[in-house]
Amino acid sequence: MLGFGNSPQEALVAFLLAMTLVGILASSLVRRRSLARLTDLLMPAALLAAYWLTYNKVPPFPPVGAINKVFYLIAIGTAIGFAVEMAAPRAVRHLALLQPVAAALYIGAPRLGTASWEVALAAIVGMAVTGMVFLRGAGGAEDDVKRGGVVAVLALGFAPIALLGASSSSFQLCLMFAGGCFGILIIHATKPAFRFGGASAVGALGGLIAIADTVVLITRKADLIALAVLAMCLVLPIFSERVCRTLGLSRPFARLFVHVVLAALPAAAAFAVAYLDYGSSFPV
Amino acid sequence: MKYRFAALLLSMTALAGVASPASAAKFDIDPVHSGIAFYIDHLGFSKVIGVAQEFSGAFDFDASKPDASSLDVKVTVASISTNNKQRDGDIQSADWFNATEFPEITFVGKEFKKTTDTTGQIVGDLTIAGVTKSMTLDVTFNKEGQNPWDKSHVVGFSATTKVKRSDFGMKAALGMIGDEVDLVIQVEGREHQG
Repeated sequence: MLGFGNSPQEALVAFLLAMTLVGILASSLVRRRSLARLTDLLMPAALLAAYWLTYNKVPPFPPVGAINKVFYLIAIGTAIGFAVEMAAPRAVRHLALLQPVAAALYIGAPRLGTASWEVALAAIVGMAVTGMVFLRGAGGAEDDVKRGGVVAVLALGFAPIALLGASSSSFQLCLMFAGGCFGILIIHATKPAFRFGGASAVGALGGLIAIADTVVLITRKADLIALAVLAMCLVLPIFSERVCRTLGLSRPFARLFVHVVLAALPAAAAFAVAYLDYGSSFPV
Repeated sequence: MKYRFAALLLSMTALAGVASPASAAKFDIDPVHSGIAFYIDHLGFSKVIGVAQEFSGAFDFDASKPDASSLDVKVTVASISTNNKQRDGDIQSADWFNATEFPEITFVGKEFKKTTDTTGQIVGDLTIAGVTKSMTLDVTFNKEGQNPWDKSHVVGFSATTKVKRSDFGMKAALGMIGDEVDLVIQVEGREHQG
Protein backbone atom coordinates (compact mmCIF):
# COMPACT_ATOMS: atom_id res chain seq x y z
CA MET A 1 0.00 0.00 0.00
CA LEU A 2 1.15 3.54 -0.61
CA GLY A 3 2.57 5.10 2.49
CA PHE A 4 0.35 7.74 4.00
CA GLY A 5 -1.55 7.89 7.26
CA ASN A 6 0.05 7.54 10.65
CA SER A 7 -0.70 3.83 10.84
CA PRO A 8 -1.62 1.07 8.43
CA GLN A 9 -5.15 1.16 9.80
CA GLU A 10 -5.45 4.89 9.09
CA ALA A 11 -4.04 4.43 5.62
CA LEU A 12 -6.55 1.66 4.95
CA VAL A 13 -9.46 3.81 6.18
CA ALA A 14 -8.20 6.70 4.02
CA PHE A 15 -8.10 4.45 0.94
CA LEU A 16 -11.51 3.03 1.79
CA LEU A 17 -13.01 6.53 2.00
CA ALA A 18 -11.21 7.57 -1.18
CA MET A 19 -12.59 4.53 -3.03
CA THR A 20 -16.11 5.28 -1.77
CA LEU A 21 -15.88 8.94 -2.80
CA VAL A 22 -14.46 8.11 -6.22
CA GLY A 23 -17.23 5.51 -6.58
CA ILE A 24 -19.87 8.14 -5.81
CA LEU A 25 -18.26 10.61 -8.20
CA ALA A 26 -17.84 8.17 -11.08
CA SER A 27 -21.33 6.77 -10.62
CA SER A 28 -22.91 10.26 -10.57
CA LEU A 29 -20.96 11.28 -13.64
CA VAL A 30 -22.02 8.27 -15.67
CA ARG A 31 -25.60 8.61 -14.47
CA ARG A 32 -25.83 12.33 -15.31
CA ARG A 33 -24.62 11.76 -18.81
CA SER A 34 -27.26 9.05 -19.25
CA LEU A 35 -24.64 6.46 -20.00
CA ALA A 36 -26.56 3.73 -18.21
CA ARG A 37 -24.84 1.01 -20.18
CA LEU A 38 -21.46 2.14 -18.89
CA THR A 39 -22.58 1.70 -15.27
CA ASP A 40 -21.85 -1.98 -15.92
CA LEU A 41 -18.16 -1.11 -15.99
CA LEU A 42 -18.10 0.69 -12.64
CA MET A 43 -17.79 -2.30 -10.32
CA PRO A 44 -15.01 -4.02 -12.29
CA ALA A 45 -13.24 -0.65 -12.49
CA ALA A 46 -13.51 -0.39 -8.69
CA LEU A 47 -11.97 -3.86 -8.35
CA LEU A 48 -9.10 -3.00 -10.69
CA ALA A 49 -8.51 0.27 -8.82
CA ALA A 50 -8.52 -1.59 -5.50
CA TYR A 51 -6.06 -4.11 -6.97
CA TRP A 52 -3.73 -1.34 -8.08
CA LEU A 53 -3.93 0.44 -4.72
CA THR A 54 -3.20 -2.81 -2.91
CA TYR A 55 -0.36 -4.17 -5.00
CA ASN A 56 0.96 -0.94 -6.58
CA LYS A 57 1.40 -2.66 -9.89
CA VAL A 58 -0.03 -3.84 -13.14
CA PRO A 59 1.41 -7.35 -13.28
CA PRO A 60 3.53 -8.34 -16.27
CA PHE A 61 1.87 -10.41 -18.96
CA PRO A 62 1.75 -13.37 -19.09
CA PRO A 63 1.12 -13.40 -15.35
CA VAL A 64 3.13 -15.65 -13.05
CA GLY A 65 1.49 -16.69 -9.79
CA ALA A 66 -2.10 -16.54 -8.59
CA ILE A 67 -2.03 -12.91 -7.40
CA ASN A 68 -0.96 -11.71 -10.84
CA LYS A 69 -3.41 -14.01 -12.61
CA VAL A 70 -6.26 -12.40 -10.65
CA PHE A 71 -5.57 -9.01 -12.29
CA TYR A 72 -5.94 -10.43 -15.78
CA LEU A 73 -8.99 -12.45 -14.85
CA ILE A 74 -10.63 -9.18 -13.79
CA ALA A 75 -9.38 -7.10 -16.73
CA ILE A 76 -9.97 -9.64 -19.49
CA GLY A 77 -13.21 -10.82 -17.88
CA THR A 78 -14.50 -7.25 -17.85
CA ALA A 79 -13.61 -6.68 -21.49
CA ILE A 80 -15.13 -9.98 -22.65
CA GLY A 81 -18.19 -9.59 -20.42
CA PHE A 82 -18.86 -6.08 -21.72
CA ALA A 83 -18.31 -7.07 -25.35
CA VAL A 84 -20.59 -10.10 -25.09
CA GLU A 85 -23.23 -7.99 -23.32
CA MET A 86 -23.22 -5.64 -26.33
CA ALA A 87 -23.01 -8.28 -29.04
CA ALA A 88 -25.01 -11.22 -27.70
CA PRO A 89 -26.76 -10.38 -24.41
CA ARG A 90 -28.23 -13.87 -24.10
CA ALA A 91 -24.79 -15.45 -24.05
CA VAL A 92 -23.78 -13.46 -20.95
CA ARG A 93 -25.49 -15.93 -18.62
CA HIS A 94 -23.43 -18.80 -20.00
CA LEU A 95 -20.27 -16.74 -19.93
CA ALA A 96 -20.88 -15.75 -16.30
CA LEU A 97 -21.31 -19.40 -15.35
CA LEU A 98 -18.18 -20.42 -17.23
CA GLN A 99 -16.00 -17.79 -15.55
CA PRO A 100 -15.78 -19.48 -12.11
CA VAL A 101 -14.79 -22.76 -13.80
CA ALA A 102 -12.10 -21.00 -15.83
CA ALA A 103 -10.91 -19.08 -12.73
CA ALA A 104 -10.70 -22.23 -10.59
CA LEU A 105 -8.77 -24.08 -13.32
CA TYR A 106 -6.45 -21.16 -14.04
CA ILE A 107 -5.74 -20.22 -10.42
CA GLY A 108 -5.80 -23.81 -9.19
CA ALA A 109 -3.66 -25.24 -12.02
CA PRO A 110 -0.76 -26.08 -9.66
CA ARG A 111 -3.16 -28.13 -7.52
CA LEU A 112 -4.51 -30.18 -10.41
CA GLY A 113 -3.32 -33.72 -10.00
CA THR A 114 -2.66 -33.46 -6.28
CA ALA A 115 -5.99 -31.95 -5.22
CA SER A 116 -8.14 -31.90 -8.33
CA TRP A 117 -11.30 -32.39 -6.31
CA GLU A 118 -10.61 -29.12 -4.44
CA VAL A 119 -10.30 -27.30 -7.76
CA ALA A 120 -13.51 -28.94 -8.98
CA LEU A 121 -15.31 -28.00 -5.75
CA ALA A 122 -14.10 -24.40 -6.06
CA ALA A 123 -15.43 -24.30 -9.63
CA ILE A 124 -18.82 -25.67 -8.57
CA VAL A 125 -19.13 -23.31 -5.60
CA GLY A 126 -18.09 -20.39 -7.83
CA MET A 127 -20.78 -21.34 -10.34
CA ALA A 128 -23.35 -21.57 -7.57
CA VAL A 129 -22.37 -18.12 -6.27
CA THR A 130 -22.64 -16.62 -9.76
CA GLY A 131 -25.95 -18.37 -10.31
CA MET A 132 -27.38 -17.08 -7.03
CA VAL A 133 -26.20 -13.50 -7.59
CA PHE A 134 -26.54 -13.04 -11.32
CA LEU A 135 -29.14 -15.44 -12.59
CA ARG A 136 -31.73 -15.16 -9.84
CA GLY A 137 -34.35 -12.45 -9.60
CA ALA A 138 -35.86 -10.18 -12.18
CA GLY A 139 -34.10 -7.92 -14.62
CA GLY A 140 -34.09 -4.16 -14.35
CA ALA A 141 -32.10 -1.51 -12.57
CA GLU A 142 -33.48 -2.10 -9.08
CA ASP A 143 -32.55 -5.77 -9.08
CA ASP A 144 -29.18 -4.92 -10.59
CA VAL A 145 -28.47 -2.54 -7.71
CA LYS A 146 -29.40 -5.36 -5.32
CA ARG A 147 -26.99 -7.69 -7.14
CA GLY A 148 -24.26 -5.13 -6.81
CA GLY A 149 -25.08 -4.73 -3.13
CA VAL A 150 -24.76 -8.47 -2.51
CA VAL A 151 -21.37 -8.53 -4.30
CA ALA A 152 -20.20 -5.62 -2.11
CA VAL A 153 -21.36 -7.45 1.02
CA LEU A 154 -19.63 -10.64 -0.17
CA ALA A 155 -16.39 -8.69 -0.57
CA LEU A 156 -16.83 -7.12 2.84
CA GLY A 157 -17.58 -10.50 4.44
CA PHE A 158 -14.71 -12.23 2.68
CA ALA A 159 -12.14 -9.60 3.77
CA PRO A 160 -11.61 -10.91 7.35
CA ILE A 161 -11.60 -14.50 6.06
CA ALA A 162 -8.83 -13.51 3.64
CA LEU A 163 -6.92 -11.80 6.43
CA LEU A 164 -7.06 -14.92 8.55
CA GLY A 165 -6.22 -16.91 5.45
CA ALA A 166 -2.80 -15.21 5.54
CA SER A 167 -3.62 -12.70 2.86
CA SER A 168 -3.50 -9.18 4.25
CA SER A 169 -3.41 -7.92 0.67
CA SER A 170 -6.66 -9.68 -0.24
CA PHE A 171 -8.14 -8.21 2.94
CA GLN A 172 -7.26 -4.68 1.79
CA LEU A 173 -8.34 -5.43 -1.75
CA CYS A 174 -11.76 -6.75 -0.70
CA LEU A 175 -12.37 -3.88 1.73
CA MET A 176 -11.46 -1.23 -0.83
CA PHE A 177 -13.54 -2.94 -3.50
CA ALA A 178 -16.52 -3.07 -1.13
CA GLY A 179 -16.04 0.64 -0.32
CA GLY A 180 -15.96 1.50 -4.02
CA CYS A 181 -19.09 -0.60 -4.68
CA PHE A 182 -21.07 1.06 -1.90
CA GLY A 183 -20.06 4.46 -3.31
CA ILE A 184 -21.17 3.42 -6.80
CA LEU A 185 -24.47 1.94 -5.64
CA ILE A 186 -25.57 4.61 -3.18
CA ILE A 187 -26.20 6.94 -6.14
CA HIS A 188 -28.73 4.42 -7.43
CA ALA A 189 -30.42 3.75 -4.11
CA THR A 190 -33.46 5.96 -4.67
CA LYS A 191 -33.76 6.12 -8.46
CA PRO A 192 -31.92 3.08 -9.79
CA ALA A 193 -30.33 3.40 -13.24
CA PHE A 194 -27.62 0.83 -12.74
CA ARG A 195 -26.66 -2.12 -14.88
CA PHE A 196 -25.16 -5.28 -13.41
CA GLY A 197 -24.44 -6.96 -16.73
CA GLY A 198 -21.70 -8.98 -18.34
CA ALA A 199 -18.80 -6.79 -17.19
CA SER A 200 -20.00 -6.76 -13.57
CA ALA A 201 -20.80 -10.47 -13.51
CA VAL A 202 -17.64 -11.70 -15.23
CA GLY A 203 -15.19 -8.95 -14.23
CA ALA A 204 -16.27 -7.92 -10.73
CA LEU A 205 -18.09 -10.95 -9.31
CA GLY A 206 -15.81 -13.31 -11.25
CA GLY A 207 -12.78 -11.36 -10.02
CA LEU A 208 -13.96 -11.66 -6.43
CA ILE A 209 -14.39 -15.41 -6.94
CA ALA A 210 -10.82 -15.56 -8.34
CA ILE A 211 -9.54 -13.78 -5.21
CA ALA A 212 -11.35 -16.35 -3.07
CA ASP A 213 -9.86 -19.15 -5.23
CA THR A 214 -6.39 -17.76 -4.51
CA VAL A 215 -6.92 -17.88 -0.76
CA VAL A 216 -8.66 -21.27 -0.76
CA LEU A 217 -6.65 -23.14 -3.41
CA ILE A 218 -3.21 -21.55 -3.26
CA THR A 219 -2.72 -20.18 0.24
CA ARG A 220 -4.94 -22.97 1.62
CA LYS A 221 -5.69 -21.29 4.90
CA ALA A 222 -9.40 -20.64 4.50
CA ASP A 223 -11.78 -20.95 7.42
CA LEU A 224 -14.35 -23.25 5.82
CA ILE A 225 -16.99 -22.70 8.52
CA ALA A 226 -16.77 -18.93 8.11
CA LEU A 227 -16.99 -19.39 4.33
CA ALA A 228 -20.09 -21.57 4.70
CA VAL A 229 -21.68 -18.92 6.93
CA LEU A 230 -20.74 -16.23 4.41
CA ALA A 231 -22.50 -18.23 1.70
CA MET A 232 -25.76 -17.46 3.51
CA CYS A 233 -25.33 -13.91 2.14
CA LEU A 234 -26.73 -15.38 -1.05
CA VAL A 235 -29.64 -17.16 0.60
CA LEU A 236 -31.12 -14.67 3.05
CA PRO A 237 -31.77 -11.91 0.47
CA ILE A 238 -34.20 -14.33 -1.24
CA PHE A 239 -36.58 -13.43 1.56
CA SER A 240 -36.18 -9.67 1.17
CA GLU A 241 -39.31 -9.26 -0.98
CA ARG A 242 -41.38 -11.14 1.59
CA VAL A 243 -39.94 -9.04 4.41
CA CYS A 244 -40.67 -5.85 2.48
CA ARG A 245 -44.27 -6.95 1.82
CA THR A 246 -44.74 -7.83 5.49
CA LEU A 247 -43.36 -4.45 6.58
CA GLY A 248 -45.22 -2.60 3.83
CA LEU A 249 -42.06 -1.22 2.28
CA SER A 250 -42.38 -0.32 -1.38
CA ARG A 251 -39.81 2.41 -2.10
CA PRO A 252 -36.64 1.27 -3.90
CA PHE A 253 -34.33 2.59 -1.18
CA ALA A 254 -36.16 0.71 1.60
CA ARG A 255 -36.27 -2.49 -0.48
CA LEU A 256 -32.58 -2.19 -1.28
CA PHE A 257 -31.80 -1.50 2.37
CA VAL A 258 -33.64 -4.65 3.52
CA HIS A 259 -31.98 -6.70 0.79
CA VAL A 260 -28.47 -5.54 1.72
CA VAL A 261 -29.08 -5.89 5.46
CA LEU A 262 -30.27 -9.48 4.96
CA ALA A 263 -27.08 -10.14 3.00
CA ALA A 264 -24.95 -8.38 5.59
CA LEU A 265 -26.20 -10.44 8.55
CA PRO A 266 -24.38 -13.64 7.49
CA ALA A 267 -21.31 -11.55 6.61
CA ALA A 268 -21.23 -10.27 10.18
CA ALA A 269 -21.77 -13.82 11.45
CA ALA A 270 -18.89 -15.06 9.24
CA PHE A 271 -16.65 -12.40 10.75
CA ALA A 272 -17.70 -13.51 14.24
CA VAL A 273 -16.96 -17.17 13.40
CA ALA A 274 -13.54 -16.26 12.05
CA TYR A 275 -12.82 -14.09 15.06
CA LEU A 276 -13.81 -16.84 17.50
CA ASP A 277 -11.86 -19.46 15.58
CA TYR A 278 -8.67 -17.45 15.67
CA GLY A 279 -9.14 -15.81 19.05
CA SER A 280 -6.10 -13.95 20.30
CA SER A 281 -4.17 -14.48 17.08
CA PHE A 282 -6.67 -12.28 15.21
CA PRO A 283 -4.38 -9.55 13.90
CA VAL A 284 -6.07 -6.38 15.12
CA MET B 1 55.89 -60.19 -21.82
CA LYS B 2 52.88 -60.10 -19.54
CA TYR B 3 54.79 -57.95 -17.02
CA ARG B 4 56.05 -55.57 -19.71
CA PHE B 5 52.51 -54.95 -21.00
CA ALA B 6 51.26 -54.28 -17.47
CA ALA B 7 54.10 -51.82 -16.83
CA LEU B 8 53.35 -50.02 -20.09
CA LEU B 9 49.67 -49.76 -19.24
CA LEU B 10 50.53 -48.44 -15.79
CA SER B 11 52.91 -45.79 -17.10
CA MET B 12 50.38 -44.69 -19.73
CA THR B 13 47.73 -44.28 -17.09
CA ALA B 14 50.11 -42.28 -14.90
CA LEU B 15 51.07 -40.07 -17.85
CA ALA B 16 47.47 -39.49 -18.74
CA GLY B 17 46.87 -38.39 -15.17
CA VAL B 18 49.70 -35.88 -15.31
CA ALA B 19 48.81 -34.61 -18.75
CA SER B 20 45.08 -34.03 -18.15
CA PRO B 21 44.11 -30.50 -17.03
CA ALA B 22 43.30 -30.10 -13.32
CA SER B 23 39.51 -30.27 -13.01
CA ALA B 24 37.48 -28.54 -10.30
CA ALA B 25 36.34 -30.82 -7.51
CA LYS B 26 32.63 -31.28 -7.07
CA PHE B 27 31.28 -30.46 -3.62
CA ASP B 28 27.92 -31.18 -2.04
CA ILE B 29 26.62 -28.55 0.34
CA ASP B 30 26.69 -29.96 3.87
CA PRO B 31 23.40 -28.81 5.39
CA VAL B 32 24.58 -29.63 8.92
CA HIS B 33 27.34 -27.05 8.76
CA SER B 34 25.76 -24.56 6.38
CA GLY B 35 23.09 -21.97 6.93
CA ILE B 36 20.99 -19.36 5.15
CA ALA B 37 19.66 -16.49 7.24
CA PHE B 38 17.89 -13.29 6.27
CA TYR B 39 17.17 -10.03 8.03
CA ILE B 40 14.19 -7.83 7.23
CA ASP B 41 13.25 -4.50 8.73
CA HIS B 42 10.17 -4.25 10.94
CA LEU B 43 8.88 -0.66 11.14
CA GLY B 44 12.44 0.54 11.59
CA PHE B 45 12.52 -0.82 15.13
CA SER B 46 14.32 -4.08 14.54
CA LYS B 47 15.30 -6.60 11.96
CA VAL B 48 13.37 -9.84 12.04
CA ILE B 49 15.64 -12.84 11.52
CA GLY B 50 14.56 -15.71 9.34
CA VAL B 51 16.29 -18.92 8.39
CA ALA B 52 15.90 -21.53 5.70
CA GLN B 53 15.93 -24.89 7.41
CA GLU B 54 15.98 -27.10 4.31
CA PHE B 55 18.24 -26.51 1.37
CA SER B 56 20.51 -28.49 -0.86
CA GLY B 57 22.99 -27.90 -3.61
CA ALA B 58 26.34 -28.56 -5.13
CA PHE B 59 29.23 -26.60 -6.55
CA ASP B 60 32.41 -27.14 -8.51
CA PHE B 61 35.44 -25.36 -7.13
CA ASP B 62 39.14 -25.21 -7.81
CA ALA B 63 41.05 -22.59 -5.79
CA SER B 64 43.47 -22.08 -8.66
CA LYS B 65 40.68 -21.48 -11.14
CA PRO B 66 37.76 -19.94 -9.27
CA ASP B 67 36.27 -18.48 -12.45
CA ALA B 68 35.55 -22.02 -13.67
CA SER B 69 33.34 -22.75 -10.69
CA SER B 70 29.68 -23.65 -10.76
CA LEU B 71 26.94 -23.38 -8.16
CA ASP B 72 23.41 -24.68 -7.95
CA VAL B 73 21.30 -24.25 -4.79
CA LYS B 74 17.68 -25.05 -3.93
CA VAL B 75 15.85 -23.84 -0.85
CA THR B 76 12.58 -25.41 0.29
CA VAL B 77 10.14 -22.52 0.80
CA ALA B 78 8.08 -24.47 3.35
CA SER B 79 11.15 -24.65 5.58
CA ILE B 80 11.56 -20.89 5.96
CA SER B 81 11.16 -19.95 9.60
CA THR B 82 11.03 -16.59 11.37
CA ASN B 83 10.51 -18.00 14.85
CA ASN B 84 6.76 -17.29 14.82
CA LYS B 85 4.25 -19.92 13.77
CA GLN B 86 1.56 -17.48 12.61
CA ARG B 87 4.02 -15.42 10.55
CA ASP B 88 5.70 -18.53 9.16
CA GLY B 89 2.31 -19.68 7.89
CA ASP B 90 1.56 -16.24 6.47
CA ILE B 91 4.77 -15.97 4.44
CA GLN B 92 3.90 -19.20 2.64
CA SER B 93 0.79 -17.49 1.23
CA ALA B 94 0.16 -16.25 -2.30
CA ASP B 95 1.02 -12.69 -1.17
CA TRP B 96 4.55 -13.72 -0.23
CA PHE B 97 6.55 -16.78 -1.25
CA ASN B 98 3.52 -18.60 -2.69
CA ALA B 99 4.79 -22.01 -1.59
CA THR B 100 1.98 -23.91 -3.30
CA GLU B 101 2.88 -22.67 -6.76
CA PHE B 102 6.59 -22.13 -6.19
CA PRO B 103 7.82 -24.61 -3.56
CA GLU B 104 11.51 -23.88 -4.19
CA ILE B 105 13.80 -20.90 -4.33
CA THR B 106 16.76 -21.51 -6.63
CA PHE B 107 20.08 -19.85 -7.27
CA VAL B 108 22.28 -20.76 -10.20
CA GLY B 109 25.73 -19.19 -10.41
CA LYS B 110 26.62 -17.83 -13.84
CA GLU B 111 29.79 -15.80 -13.36
CA PHE B 112 32.53 -16.27 -10.78
CA LYS B 113 34.94 -13.41 -10.20
CA LYS B 114 37.95 -13.36 -7.89
CA THR B 115 38.42 -9.92 -6.30
CA THR B 116 41.23 -10.64 -3.79
CA ASP B 117 43.00 -13.79 -2.63
CA THR B 118 40.16 -14.61 -0.29
CA THR B 119 37.16 -12.78 -1.73
CA GLY B 120 35.11 -12.89 -4.86
CA GLN B 121 31.72 -12.35 -6.39
CA ILE B 122 29.20 -14.76 -7.80
CA VAL B 123 26.69 -13.36 -10.24
CA GLY B 124 23.77 -15.67 -10.74
CA ASP B 125 20.06 -16.10 -11.30
CA LEU B 126 17.91 -16.04 -8.18
CA THR B 127 14.38 -17.33 -8.68
CA ILE B 128 11.75 -16.60 -6.06
CA ALA B 129 7.99 -17.04 -6.56
CA GLY B 130 8.46 -17.67 -10.26
CA VAL B 131 10.42 -14.46 -10.86
CA THR B 132 14.09 -14.70 -11.88
CA LYS B 133 16.46 -11.81 -11.24
CA SER B 134 20.21 -11.48 -11.45
CA MET B 135 21.87 -11.28 -8.05
CA THR B 136 25.46 -10.80 -6.94
CA LEU B 137 26.81 -12.62 -3.92
CA ASP B 138 29.85 -11.18 -2.14
CA VAL B 139 31.81 -14.26 -1.17
CA THR B 140 34.65 -14.82 1.27
CA PHE B 141 36.71 -17.95 0.88
CA ASN B 142 37.29 -19.25 4.41
CA LYS B 143 39.27 -22.47 4.21
CA GLU B 144 39.88 -25.59 2.18
CA GLY B 145 41.35 -28.76 3.62
CA GLN B 146 40.75 -32.04 5.30
CA ASN B 147 38.13 -32.40 7.99
CA PRO B 148 40.15 -33.98 10.84
CA TRP B 149 37.05 -35.83 12.02
CA ASP B 150 36.23 -37.92 8.98
CA LYS B 151 39.13 -37.01 6.64
CA SER B 152 36.77 -35.67 4.00
CA HIS B 153 37.84 -32.86 1.68
CA VAL B 154 36.00 -29.72 2.73
CA VAL B 155 35.84 -26.14 1.53
CA GLY B 156 34.04 -23.30 3.32
CA PHE B 157 32.69 -19.92 2.28
CA SER B 158 30.74 -17.03 3.75
CA ALA B 159 28.53 -14.89 1.54
CA THR B 160 26.28 -11.86 1.85
CA THR B 161 23.95 -9.98 -0.44
CA LYS B 162 20.88 -7.77 -0.45
CA VAL B 163 17.72 -8.44 -2.42
CA LYS B 164 14.57 -6.38 -2.86
CA ARG B 165 11.50 -8.47 -2.23
CA SER B 166 9.44 -6.16 -4.44
CA ASP B 167 11.61 -7.24 -7.39
CA PHE B 168 10.09 -10.69 -6.92
CA GLY B 169 6.52 -9.39 -6.77
CA MET B 170 6.30 -9.49 -2.97
CA LYS B 171 4.77 -6.10 -2.24
CA ALA B 172 2.59 -6.91 0.74
CA ALA B 173 2.92 -4.52 3.70
CA LEU B 174 5.72 -2.55 2.04
CA GLY B 175 5.25 0.48 4.29
CA MET B 176 5.69 -1.59 7.43
CA ILE B 177 8.00 -4.42 6.51
CA GLY B 178 11.25 -3.57 4.73
CA ASP B 179 11.70 -4.04 1.03
CA GLU B 180 15.41 -4.77 1.23
CA VAL B 181 16.33 -8.13 2.66
CA ASP B 182 19.86 -8.87 3.90
CA LEU B 183 21.00 -12.41 3.19
CA VAL B 184 23.79 -14.05 5.15
CA ILE B 185 25.02 -17.43 3.97
CA GLN B 186 27.54 -19.87 5.39
CA VAL B 187 28.45 -22.84 3.24
CA GLU B 188 30.54 -25.88 3.91
CA GLY B 189 30.97 -28.17 0.96
CA ARG B 190 32.17 -31.75 1.13
CA GLU B 191 33.82 -33.24 -1.91
CA HIS B 192 31.39 -35.43 -3.70
CA GLN B 193 32.17 -39.12 -3.25
CA GLY B 194 31.51 -41.53 -6.12
